[in-house]
Amino acid sequence: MNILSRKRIISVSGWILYAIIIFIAPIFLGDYLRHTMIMFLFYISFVVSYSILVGHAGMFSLGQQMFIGFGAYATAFLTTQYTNITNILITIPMAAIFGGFLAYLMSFILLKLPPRPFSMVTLAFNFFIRQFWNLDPLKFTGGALGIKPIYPPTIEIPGLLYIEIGRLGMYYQAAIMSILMLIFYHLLTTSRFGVAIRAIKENEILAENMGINIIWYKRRTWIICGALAAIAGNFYGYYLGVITPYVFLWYRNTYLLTMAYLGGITMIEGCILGPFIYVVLAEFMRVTEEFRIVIFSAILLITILFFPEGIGGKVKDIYKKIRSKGDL
Amino acid sequence: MPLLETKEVTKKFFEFVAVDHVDLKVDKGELVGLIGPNGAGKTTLFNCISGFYKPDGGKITFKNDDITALPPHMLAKRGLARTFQLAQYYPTFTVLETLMTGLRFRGKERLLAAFFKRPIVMEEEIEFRERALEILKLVEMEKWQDYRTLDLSGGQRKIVDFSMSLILEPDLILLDEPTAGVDPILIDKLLDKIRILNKEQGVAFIVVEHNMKVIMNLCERIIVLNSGQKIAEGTPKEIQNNNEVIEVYFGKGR
Repeated sequence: MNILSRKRIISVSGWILYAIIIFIAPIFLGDYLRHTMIMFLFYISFVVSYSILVGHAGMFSLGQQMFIGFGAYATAFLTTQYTNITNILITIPMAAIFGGFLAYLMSFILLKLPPRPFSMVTLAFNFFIRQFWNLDPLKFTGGALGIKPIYPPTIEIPGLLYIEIGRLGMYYQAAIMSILMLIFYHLLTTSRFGVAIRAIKENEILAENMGINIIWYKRRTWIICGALAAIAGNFYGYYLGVITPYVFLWYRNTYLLTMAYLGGITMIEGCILGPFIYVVLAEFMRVTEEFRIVIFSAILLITILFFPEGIGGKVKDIYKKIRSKGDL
Repeated sequence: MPLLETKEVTKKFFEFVAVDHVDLKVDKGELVGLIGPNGAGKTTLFNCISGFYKPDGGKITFKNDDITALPPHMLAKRGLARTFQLAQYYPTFTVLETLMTGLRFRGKERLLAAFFKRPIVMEEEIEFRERALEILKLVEMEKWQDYRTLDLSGGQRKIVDFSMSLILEPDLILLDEPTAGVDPILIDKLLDKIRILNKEQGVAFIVVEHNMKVIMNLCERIIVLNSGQKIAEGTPKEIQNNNEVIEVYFGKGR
């Protein structure tokens, strides 16, 4: 209850330190490391949506990658084919609406399903969407070649402001996006909404019996997480500059899964730790591109077997043990 | 006007008729027992009333409203609570948190409201906390308040389950075997609580129970189900002397 308790001061100053490091880092980094950092920040934004969906709401989706695709394609449609809008003040909301709307449509099938069929159907959706985008029967996705180029992002307010976001600017775009996502994560998980979705994850029957409308909460969680991932996808599209149906590849979900579980799927710290470990490992394993999936599977297996709460959870446990010993 | 009324409620699982045209009336402040051998359809009837199953036929009214097709969460908000045969719990929530969670979601769902109501900063939460502690004191579980429900024993979970049905301040509580797995001393205490709530606050109860001593002592009126059909209804004395009931429970030729 105390606003100025010691624990709170430590955690707030920790977060401020983190923000400062993120903001001054590019000064010391070369082009290549900056790219790695951007991917790291992008993954944070992505994992946030997955952590809410799986860690808090217990909706084990295997198709979260498709929302990245939706966000990126929404951006691509806006910037190139029709209207040539590169303004992120328009494209980000549009990406979120596109992702959220498709999530809403899917929710009619998904929410009636029990947990395991739910996972399988999300995966099936992912396959379907990839094939649909690839074959392009309605002639709007650009087929297997995708859409290119996506012009670099700008910020425009007519008559007031016009900024072209360059290569360095995109780093800050990713940084601000990831920090806003983390703030959103914190707000959501500590709100009553967060309590409701955790209660549903723990025991659906009891939650429903105690007056929680589970379909209502699940649908909103699914849509919010879809929209969040689409916002991350918006950045992804801008950053790559070209978008092809490769973005829907299903096994990218396993990378996401690895990241989320490595860090600790129910913790805000896990949303940073997971992508960090992933990016560092991926850099070391650059030499063995094909072997990468095998190693990641092994890491995922070890994490789930030995640290079900993720590495972040393990660290917290050890910290607690040390603290309690200190008190004795 | 009865508080709860079921008219010809029927529930089928494929060909099997689990509840067969059951009529039931419960008035305000009544204590009704529901007994019957295993598989008689007691819990199925409860599930139909509390909205977990959609009945295949018949009508259920509660406080003059038709509640036949309403989902459980809406019934909870209207003042109909239930407990479960196997105690349901949120494994990682503490006992206090579990009870408070029951209090937090009584209003209509609104996304923005849910979003900006953050438990740590709200005054309403303090009120909820007091209310939850009050209930815990009533069932004598206050020293377990900070334990995770996962770490409690089966009987204690049963008590937490019971207190959770109280926290919604319902007019009718459906108790599904409240004494199963609870020790004899605690059973007596629990029954006292039920009586007190019934007398002082006018809460109506329907109790499913296999312990005949408990049910005969507690209830004013008993309904007997067998193979989904209501075979008898009356005071404990009438039920004890009813030939058909004896036949069902102990077999023919006695």
